[in-house]
Amino acid sequence: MVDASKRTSKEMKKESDNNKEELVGVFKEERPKLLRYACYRLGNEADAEDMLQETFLKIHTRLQALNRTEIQDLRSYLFRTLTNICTKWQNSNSRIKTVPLDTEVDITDVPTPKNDEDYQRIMQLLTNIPGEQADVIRLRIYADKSFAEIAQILSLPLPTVKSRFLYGLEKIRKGIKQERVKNLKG
Amino acid sequence: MNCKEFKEKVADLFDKTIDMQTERECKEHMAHCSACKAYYDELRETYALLQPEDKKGRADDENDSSLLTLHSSFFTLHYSFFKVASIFIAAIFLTGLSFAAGLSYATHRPRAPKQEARSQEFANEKMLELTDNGERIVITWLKGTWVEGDFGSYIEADPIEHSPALPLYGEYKATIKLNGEKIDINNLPNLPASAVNKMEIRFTAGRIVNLITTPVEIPYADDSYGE
Repeated sequence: MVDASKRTSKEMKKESDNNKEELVGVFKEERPKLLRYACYRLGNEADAEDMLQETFLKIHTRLQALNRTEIQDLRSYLFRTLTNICTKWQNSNSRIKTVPLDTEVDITDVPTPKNDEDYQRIMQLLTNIPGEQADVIRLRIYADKSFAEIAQILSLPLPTVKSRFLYGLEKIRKGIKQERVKNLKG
Repeated sequence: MNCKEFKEKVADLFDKTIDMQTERECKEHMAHCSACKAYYDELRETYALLQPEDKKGRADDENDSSLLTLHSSFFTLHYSFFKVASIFIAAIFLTGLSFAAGLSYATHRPRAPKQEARSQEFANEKMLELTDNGERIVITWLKGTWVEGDFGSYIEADPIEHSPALPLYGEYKATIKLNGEKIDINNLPNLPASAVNKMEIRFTAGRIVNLITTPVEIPYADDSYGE
């Protein structure tokens, strides 16, 4: 009985090690896409790197507690965890990030890296559309995921993913047109 | 395909991969429906606006094979076919003129250093293939191919797996010449995509497109679309 229990524990440890190894492999492969997604979601590379780190740690810890079979597709699970962590971070950050009114901020002191400018340009474009539409667009373009993969990541039906993508593009287009008209009038 | 069906399928044109049948149906619909073409163009422009800066300038990155760029050339090409056919009379008049201009351009166009890097992806794909019960021909060409056409000229930035299906019979029939020799449609040469040297595709209304791939020599300093 004792031997059987020892064997089980050994087997469990081996399984856990295999899971972690698999996670490391998949994470390495998907890292560029995960990072790009996070950069265009959060607007800068430093925060994106932090979120990636947090995503890895969270899944790594979870794999010890969870049965691997509970996670059907590790790649999708990675993206789903990252999107959740980003949402959580953005929500909490919007509450915490405050600047006292008497603080003098000289933005020329802190040069914005060239990539960050692009991340912020995209963030600006996606600000005026609903978050769920923006997220489908981000996953399609920056994470280079197909609509079927996005449906799996977000646990949504495929037609919903496609319509969110289209509505998102239509709204951005409309916003740009309105902005142009406003500039012409102004 | 009607407009309602087109709007149901248009998102597929922005997917990572697309079913050839859907793609063809959408293209055919857009060739006849200017409203849907305009709607698609607006979506495509917005999609292009959302592309990362680094992606725009890095043609060699394998992750950057933007389907949209590929589709954009497909649609332009396809649309041009019908456009050219509809201005048939004008095209006859201009054919002689454009031939003379083309000759002059070919002789005097500025030359940039040869681009050595050419995608080997799809290099072994069959270059010419008959589809749709032998009524249409699909051509495979590669990244780095110089595409010269009535709609403008450019270096193909993405590896092309399949060109638009060119109709071989009917009003808009196309003829293909490979290195100056007309190809017998019923006896297609079994060549790989890497074997494309110079290919001319002619429509009933005039010359449409030339594909020149070996050696790849870029006429402009940058590899952007030359329109």
